[in-house]
Amino acid sequence: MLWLALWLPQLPVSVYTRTQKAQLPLAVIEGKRLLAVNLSARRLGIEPEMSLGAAHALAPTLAVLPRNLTAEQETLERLAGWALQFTSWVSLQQPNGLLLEIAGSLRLFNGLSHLVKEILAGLRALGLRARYAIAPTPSGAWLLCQGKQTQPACDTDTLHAQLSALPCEVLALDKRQHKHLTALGLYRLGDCLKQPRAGFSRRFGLETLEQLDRAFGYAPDPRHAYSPPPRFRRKLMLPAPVAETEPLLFALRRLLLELEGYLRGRDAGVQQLRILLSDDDALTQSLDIRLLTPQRAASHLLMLARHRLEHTPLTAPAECIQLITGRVYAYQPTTNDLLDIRDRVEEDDDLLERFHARLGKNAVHGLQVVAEHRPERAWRYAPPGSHSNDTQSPPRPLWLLPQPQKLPLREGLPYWKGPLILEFGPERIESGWWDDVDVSRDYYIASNSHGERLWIFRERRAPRCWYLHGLFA
Amino acid sequence: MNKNKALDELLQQPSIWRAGDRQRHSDERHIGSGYSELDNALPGGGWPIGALSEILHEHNGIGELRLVMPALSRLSRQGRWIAFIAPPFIPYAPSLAGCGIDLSRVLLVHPRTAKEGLWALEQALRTGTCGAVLAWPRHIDEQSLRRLQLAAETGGALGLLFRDEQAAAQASPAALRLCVDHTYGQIKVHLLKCRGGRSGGTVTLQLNDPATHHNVPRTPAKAPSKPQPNHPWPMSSVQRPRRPAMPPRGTTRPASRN
Repeated sequence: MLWLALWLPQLPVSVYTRTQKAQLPLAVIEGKRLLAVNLSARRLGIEPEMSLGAAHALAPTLAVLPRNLTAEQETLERLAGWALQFTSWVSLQQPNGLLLEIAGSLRLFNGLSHLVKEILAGLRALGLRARYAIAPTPSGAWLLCQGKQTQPACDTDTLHAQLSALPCEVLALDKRQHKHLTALGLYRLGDCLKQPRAGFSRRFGLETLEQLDRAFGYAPDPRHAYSPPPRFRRKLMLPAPVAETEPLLFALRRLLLELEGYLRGRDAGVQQLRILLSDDDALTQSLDIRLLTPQRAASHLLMLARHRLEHTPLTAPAECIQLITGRVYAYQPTTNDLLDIRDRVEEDDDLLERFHARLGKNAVHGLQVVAEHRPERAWRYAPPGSHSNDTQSPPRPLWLLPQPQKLPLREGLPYWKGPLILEFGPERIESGWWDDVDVSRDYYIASNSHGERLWIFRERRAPRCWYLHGLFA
Repeated sequence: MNKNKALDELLQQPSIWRAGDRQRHSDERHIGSGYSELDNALPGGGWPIGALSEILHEHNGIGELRLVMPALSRLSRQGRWIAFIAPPFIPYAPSLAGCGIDLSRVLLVHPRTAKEGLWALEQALRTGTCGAVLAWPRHIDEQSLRRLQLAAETGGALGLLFRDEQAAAQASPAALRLCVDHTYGQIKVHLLKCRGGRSGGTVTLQLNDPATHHNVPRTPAKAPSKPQPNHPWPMSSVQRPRRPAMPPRGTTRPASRN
């Protein structure tokens, strides 16, 4: 086994900052001291552990927010769901870390360095920063991570060497115990290991000894595998109310990237998305996106959302953006095959989805021929791409009027922008007595002096009116 | 020798047009209209692919759509969409199928507003999945036309805009502008503008017999000996023999070609 530990010391700040592009100096406090600060605050000389007063003296514009533990926990769990795309075994390391078993993924992702690079790039795209370490034991990887040892330890010997060299500060002990270690002359983990076990555990607790045993691989180190919820439902708080499309899309992109990771991990795609915008508690707007085939690519979904948002103006500034998906479906991955057929289908769907997203579902149709004598029923709208059976029909106009239009009579002849001359006909169509919309008509092809060729009919029943039904355009 | 060779190479550049040199332009960037007289008059021998063509007509139903049907039929068989953006009437499926169009490739888009229509038109032209895009814009300014022309170039689509005759006065970046008119059962096509060819000509087409755009053999193998009655109406039966299909003129001539 090989474990990748991801440690997110910046998580308290990241939960606030990852939804926006521009980064103002920000610090998160717990009690009266600063817990974490973002990069712009660090540039001004503000460090964690500083007192609030000192920080304000350095940067009067510093924004200070209380720690949001719930959001941190949620973000960590989402991240675990996202990480399932790289391995099936992801474990949470409370309060701010993840452990990924990656031995089985090395071949798929083309080696350790590529895999790590991909994971770190993915984290950056999500707006998160992490330290990482690699070791054969999860506790070992976590300790190496705390000790900022990024050189991967792929076998036990390297692990022992690297762990032994780590300073004792990486152990989760209180201040008094750390002092005690120093007083005993134990500066590195290797020094601790050399001590008699009974005495060490009496002084520093059995837990500390077990932690060391697990890290060095002397004791088993079982880890719970994280299992994702059946539906994706995520919420992002925006740092300030947003009324424009662009900042909203920036936050949405983060959510869609998480969704993509979640779906990759489950080898699935979604066909329905709902974006909920709310201010404080009240829902202000809901946007639905429907897809023709299961999809998961964040870029594609973002493009659809963009079309949708450009089309529907925001009704109120949003403070919170939430993404909910419908059922997840098995995903049919796209492959670029030799004959380029698949690609064509993909692009076709792409165009249709864009039309659906912007114009609504009822704005796009295909056509189908129906075997039926009544002209208005000899066709129907169908989903684009539907095939029709071959039917032969007598001459028919290219344009059909939605409703037959009554023609006036002048000097005994039907009239449409001039007297009509009947050229062909009649073609008698008498059908439909069984469903109460029966017709009994004589159809003619007629033309007027403008050269318009029309498809007209005369009712065979009284009052025997003339109607225009189509144009030979 | 070298100079001549260099000159020849230069003349091979597709952007150079030489008056009277029609053969060289008949490349894949054009699709035959299916009417040989029209093809002869059009630069490249047909409708320009990857460009806008405007068809101006005053009245509906004089054959403006039949003019493009043979080309649409061929384009639909290439597997790309034939998109109708906001058609003024219902494109009648049995008739389209009769013209040889693969109905499974027909896409009808009904935008709610003119602005949406313009957006849909541009998208359809640009994607590259539409072989032909037909639209009936009422009011469209030159700038929008320019955008559409660029979109058609990007997507390699045959963009067909059906517009009112009055639009002839407006400048347009379209590669081809035709005005369709009607006289005595014949269609007159005035070439208002052809990029890379001579404009100003008029082509007369005979396409008024609806039988010609159905799956009826076009060659008048055996012309019926009986002359048609002058007043075919009223006739009592549907099954009466159809008037023989008047062939497009190009097919009557080729006796000499063989």
